Amino acid sequence: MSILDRSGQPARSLTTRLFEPPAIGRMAPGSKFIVYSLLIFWAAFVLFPIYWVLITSFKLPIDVNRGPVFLPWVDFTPSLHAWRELFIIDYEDTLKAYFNSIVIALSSTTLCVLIGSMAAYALARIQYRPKLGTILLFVGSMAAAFVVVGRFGVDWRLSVAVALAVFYFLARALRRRFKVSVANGDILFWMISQRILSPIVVVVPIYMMFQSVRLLDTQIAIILTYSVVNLPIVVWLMYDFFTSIPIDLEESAQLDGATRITTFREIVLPLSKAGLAATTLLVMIFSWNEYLLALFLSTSRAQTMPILVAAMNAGERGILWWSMSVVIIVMIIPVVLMALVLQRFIAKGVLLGAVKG
Amino acid sequence: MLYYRRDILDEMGLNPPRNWDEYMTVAGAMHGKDLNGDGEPDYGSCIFKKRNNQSYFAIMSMAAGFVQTQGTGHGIFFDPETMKPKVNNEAWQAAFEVYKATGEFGPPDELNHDIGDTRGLVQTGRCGMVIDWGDIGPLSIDPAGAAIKNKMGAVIMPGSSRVLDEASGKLVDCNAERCPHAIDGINYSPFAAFGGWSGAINKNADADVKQAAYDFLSYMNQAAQSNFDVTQGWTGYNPYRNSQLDNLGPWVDAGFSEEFAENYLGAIKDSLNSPNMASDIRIPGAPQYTGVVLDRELARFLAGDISAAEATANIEAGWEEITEDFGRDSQRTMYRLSLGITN
Amino acid sequence: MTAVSGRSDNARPGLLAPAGATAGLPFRVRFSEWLDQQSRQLFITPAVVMILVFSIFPLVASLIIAFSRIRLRGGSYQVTFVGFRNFNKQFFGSEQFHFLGTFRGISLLGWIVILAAAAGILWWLYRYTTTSFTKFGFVGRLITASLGFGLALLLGATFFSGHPFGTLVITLFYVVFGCAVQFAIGLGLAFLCAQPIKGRTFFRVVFFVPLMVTPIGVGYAFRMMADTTKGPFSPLWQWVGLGDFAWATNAWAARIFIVVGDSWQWIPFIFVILLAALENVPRDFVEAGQVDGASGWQIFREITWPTILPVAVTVTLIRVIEAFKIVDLPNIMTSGGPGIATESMTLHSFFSWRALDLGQSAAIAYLLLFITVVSCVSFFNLVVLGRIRQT
Repeated sequence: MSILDRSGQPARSLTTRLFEPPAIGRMAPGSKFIVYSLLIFWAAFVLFPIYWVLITSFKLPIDVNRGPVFLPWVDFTPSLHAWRELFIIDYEDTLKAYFNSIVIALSSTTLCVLIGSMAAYALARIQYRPKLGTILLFVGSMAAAFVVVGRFGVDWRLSVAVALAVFYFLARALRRRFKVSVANGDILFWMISQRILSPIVVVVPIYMMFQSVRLLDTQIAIILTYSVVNLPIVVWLMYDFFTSIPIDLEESAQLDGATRITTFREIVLPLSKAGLAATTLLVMIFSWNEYLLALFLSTSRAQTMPILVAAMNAGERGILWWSMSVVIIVMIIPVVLMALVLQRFIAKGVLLGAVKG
Repeated sequence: MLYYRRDILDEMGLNPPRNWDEYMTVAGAMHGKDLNGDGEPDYGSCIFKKRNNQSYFAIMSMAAGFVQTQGTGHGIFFDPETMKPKVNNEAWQAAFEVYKATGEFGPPDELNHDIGDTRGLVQTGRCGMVIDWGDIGPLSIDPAGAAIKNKMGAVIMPGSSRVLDEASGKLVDCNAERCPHAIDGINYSPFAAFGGWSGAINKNADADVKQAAYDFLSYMNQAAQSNFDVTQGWTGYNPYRNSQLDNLGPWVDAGFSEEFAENYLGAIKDSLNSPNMASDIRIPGAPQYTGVVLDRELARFLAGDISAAEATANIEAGWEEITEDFGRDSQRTMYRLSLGITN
Repeated sequence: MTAVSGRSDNARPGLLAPAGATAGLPFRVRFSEWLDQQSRQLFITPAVVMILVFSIFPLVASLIIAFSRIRLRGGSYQVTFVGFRNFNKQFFGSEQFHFLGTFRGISLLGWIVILAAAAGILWWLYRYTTTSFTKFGFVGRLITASLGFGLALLLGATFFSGHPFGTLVITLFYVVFGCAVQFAIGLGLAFLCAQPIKGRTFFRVVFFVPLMVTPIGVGYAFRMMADTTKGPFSPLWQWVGLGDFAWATNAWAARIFIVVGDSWQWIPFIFVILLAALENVPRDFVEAGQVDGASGWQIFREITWPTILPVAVTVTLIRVIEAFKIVDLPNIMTSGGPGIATESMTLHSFFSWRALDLGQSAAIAYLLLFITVVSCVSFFNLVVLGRIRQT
């Protein structure tokens, strides 16, 4: 025992030197070493697949198929054939998809962030007390419209219009009778819960809907769908963000006679830059990368980049790993650039939004 | 069709397999040898087995030789009288077992290989034998296929000398009455997987659109264009016109050796001209019958979750359910039409 | 036009309009006043209408599809009402093995798990009725309890009895195991990046990158990674003597590999948000703790964790919601194989859809929706609110 104690003494001092911080707010060399090795290990884990995709985009088919080769110029000769094929020979298809993706991501994000933050602001600042009865009445009349369409084959436009009219008059007549009302929290929950919907639940009806108004395979269809799919995220994050902004500024602005819309535009939005930036980035990433809905809603004209990635798995020729890698790489670039620009907002924005849970 | 490495078989003094027992023997002999000179052991047999990726075509190709004996009108899926599935029997089970057994001489992760993965391996010379459509021929003379250029041979799909007795559901030996189309006692039934390409034009389209679509289809199929297309590995087009099957010229121009061109086209002609060619399932709900039910049970069998007997029993039940869904009588009519039974 | 605007000028001198306004302004003033009166509705209506049209309408339509059989015919479709057939099939019919699993009797371990779960749930309900009790809360807990017991029964009869299980349990595996791994690693990385070291910004940006890769790209990239014959790690596999081991042919290896791919993509999301939360922990608290000689673990447990808890909960909830919908990765990496070992419920539904079996597709999607809603709401109401009340 005593030997162990004596030999333990110098060991402890070594431990002390290595792992106890020399001063508060600084790190000991030992911990520093561990932290750095973990960070570098993770960076390698994160970057390796991307590196592999990048070099695959410069490989000839034979280099991919004959087994792993790792270093350009060392164990294989890089070739631009896949890049040439996508950007010179088939440039029309590639650029069309790229253009579609940019238009769709930008417009759907703008629309979604705008509508979503308006709703979030309203829920954070205005008391809504819609009557439960009115809501049930609405649902009931819509369901009736459905049944009429399904059962008796009435034109759906006529049926919906009649149902809306019936709802309107009944709601006016019965307004006084309804006692139970729902609060902002319930509306918020309802909106956020839409995110739980798997796209697969809604995609077939959405397809039929756009088919009936002849908007299939257009950018508009995808923009609208993406806006709705991402709306819950915006409402969720921005609601938390707005509630974290002190209300005094808005109140004083309203005392000065500013309308609510002016207050929102001139005071609230500038204060929420960080939250908006983070939310925008997140929504943009989601809509830029979305695959399943785009697959359903586009056939050729409105194809987006993720569809192009999947198209590189061409049944007959197998997976064109090289071309697919090119598409993946060119898809990453704009998002990374944007993330770099918005980088300083992200941490702050998402945090403030999420803090209140 | 079955492709094999002619150079290797010649070297080993083996003949291309005629039935699945021979296939296993040959695959076993080649497995683990270095087939492309890179110093690494290669594989005796490559057959795609990935779920949801056409592996049902492979199993149907294998089953056809066990099931169909009486010519193209016989069919391999249903009893044309009752629409009862002809699947829960020893013939299909034998095909399942063969399919699984070939994995023993294949790449270790073959269960996750789709046809593209398999073709990639073939092109780099890593496979001794492979089952595929007509595409391997042109793919082998593609720059990516340098390792196997003019080293392949092609032959009709292996057959079987034991075939299905429909009454008992058992496998029985071939005889002249039972296997009228057998060659040397082996019943071949080349399966027209996927059926081939067909053009379709929407009848509600505008007249000029219709005309343009028709012109396009016509252009694609005239000799001037299609005789070139079929020699290119990336078109998915295989020879189908007589001029493509009989003239070696375009093939030699594309880089085939005369010997290989003759052998390749011969195997295609043997398959297409076989009186016992089996046709694919061409009735409503086909993707459910094969792409969902058959494919899923096959995948579970290959993964070792269920036995071949369980798999075929499940398929029978699943197919019956789909038939009931679509209506047995209308399905029966369609199936009979698809087999060319008109009375 | 002028008359109208003149009259309106006389009647209501614009409150905000400066003197000498142009002729168009009064209308604008009226318009903006009207707008202000309507702003209550104006702010929220677009969102409500969009959700009604694009989420609720499809949801209802989908429900109808789930109870019918749809056939596409000559540019139109024909709907036949079939009652609970599509659901029946999943629970008791030909799809039972696929959705729930194969039932071949329950082992001893299975019984232990089931009985333990039943006892736990009953005790939990009993405690609730004796402490605080509201009708609404009790009904909610009853729903949670029955789903929980159903899942315990299912797990006991399949997983713990050594029988194959279906897409429901596989989805839960992705959600529970995947999210746990992602949360643990994400938190660990955030913790490392919150240390006072050089190059933090570099690591922060690098760690964020995977989130920006399109999920199907991630699927294909990881399929390349995992290829044991021509992927980058195949020499390594050969070297350690596992050249013949194929992850894709082993059910658990395949599942875990899909979780690896999923984690690669989603850890950045958890990391970024938790890092922000960690940096928001008041430094003086931490330093005071250090001065008092508290260990790193004590500081974490007593100071850091309570501060970041609300953020951690939000991020977990967002992640869990997304994880229930996992489809791209299993579809691309294994197509649900070997067998049905990696098939998630969304993929199950997608396969049915692809074979034009729309009724079944919708029914599975609805079951998924039900399970997700109950799980998330239970998690939020019981775990989150409970924890926040305690702290």
